[in-house]
Amino acid sequence: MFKIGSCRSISRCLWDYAAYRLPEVEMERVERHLQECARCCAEFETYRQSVTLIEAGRNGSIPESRRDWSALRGALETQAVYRAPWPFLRPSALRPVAAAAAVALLFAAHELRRAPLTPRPAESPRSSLRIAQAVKPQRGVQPPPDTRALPQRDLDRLAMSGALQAARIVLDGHAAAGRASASIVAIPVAYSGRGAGSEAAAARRAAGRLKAAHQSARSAGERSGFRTARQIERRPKQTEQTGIRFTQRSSEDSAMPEAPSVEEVVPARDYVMAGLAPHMSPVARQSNREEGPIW
Amino acid sequence: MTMASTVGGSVQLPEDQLVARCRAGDLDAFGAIYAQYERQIFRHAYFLLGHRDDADDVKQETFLKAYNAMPNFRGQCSMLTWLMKICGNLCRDRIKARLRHKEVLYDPQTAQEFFGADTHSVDPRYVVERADTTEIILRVLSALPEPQRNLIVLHEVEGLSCKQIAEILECSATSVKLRLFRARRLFKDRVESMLNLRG
Repeated sequence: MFKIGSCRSISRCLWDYAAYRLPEVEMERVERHLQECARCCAEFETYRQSVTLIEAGRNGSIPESRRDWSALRGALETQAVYRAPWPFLRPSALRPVAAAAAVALLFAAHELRRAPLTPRPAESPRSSLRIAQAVKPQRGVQPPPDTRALPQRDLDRLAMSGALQAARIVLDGHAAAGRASASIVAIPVAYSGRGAGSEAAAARRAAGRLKAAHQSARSAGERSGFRTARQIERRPKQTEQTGIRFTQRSSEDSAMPEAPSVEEVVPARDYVMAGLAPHMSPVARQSNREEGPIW
Repeated sequence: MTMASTVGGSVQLPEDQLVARCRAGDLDAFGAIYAQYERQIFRHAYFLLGHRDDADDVKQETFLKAYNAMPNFRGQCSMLTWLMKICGNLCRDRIKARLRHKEVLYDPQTAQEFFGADTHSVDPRYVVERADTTEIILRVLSALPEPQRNLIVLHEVEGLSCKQIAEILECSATSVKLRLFRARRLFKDRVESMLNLRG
């Protein structure tokens, strides 16, 4: 228990002493201490007021509740009516399902935003076939004899690049149609189309080779005073993806029958896929040879 | 815990049988539990919140939650202790919400008694008695921190033992005694300062 003279231990019992909750023996001890200690006696007076207040409040008038059992019963019956018969259909059980559905919806929306509904031109099988036909070396097709009319350095560069084969194929098509062109069109393309199989791989390789050849040829042309289409037109045209078309026409171009544009022969997307299909006519090469380097 | 409950002068079923019936969806059995503990729950909420409408809401919500959670009641403590725990948690949430939203309490009845036009029609002795007991208690309790307020109400007003309070607060009985001593001392200091202010 506690010592009689210990004010600290007495103060712990003052509330219970005021509420008459202490055993008889301890009640007498506290009483004896309070007779001797004025400080504890003053503290006890405050405790007594607090206990009296609490008891008065406990037994006093507390407002009546405004809601009774009928209101709660109505709420419980309504709740029972709307409670789902199966536990897995209750709202608490459906929360994870709803969260998963929301996440799936967001993911689908994100994917739709990234990939449009219309297929990319580069991925259509038809254009892949055209590219393969344009790029793949074909047996029995003779190289045009007048490629020798090209400046030797350009021929060397194109031969080194391996893109000449593709150019010859397109040129054969032009010659068979009786078209003439006074322009040389080169489309350096950073091939980025996606595809599968050996055809697409061949197209990618051709595009890479052609781009490298064009870059080397352009740097050589700049060194020799060659003007690029950017310098001529000031505003180079952007191809369908990333390529820049460089066009230079001689002064006789206006007198020449207009050559069909490259885009008319093969759709631009195929150029993008294949990398390049330059075409030139013998007339243009002849005139260019007379006037100087055309490329 | 088997305990025969008496409501309205008629002996009701023991508490565990009432709980079993409640689990089976018997609303009348739950009505018996409601009738037995409704007043204590309301008083507990009233002393903790200090407002009749809030106490009403908390009381109904307590029994609603208790009915829904009846399958989880394991019977390790008495029904009163369990209900007091639910009620204390709801009151604590409401007090926190008040602190967040800075609510200003307004009790029409109190305002009418103290400031309204019908002040003269109310018995002055009743007003003085109310002001000297319940109102002072509510003011002192509202000045206490929520855990100590809960302890004072549970032990001094509701008369729960330290063991029952320990079950509610999920701590040891020794810890409850220590906290109760501090809460009493703080309550006494608040009462002393309030009485000094009143002269």
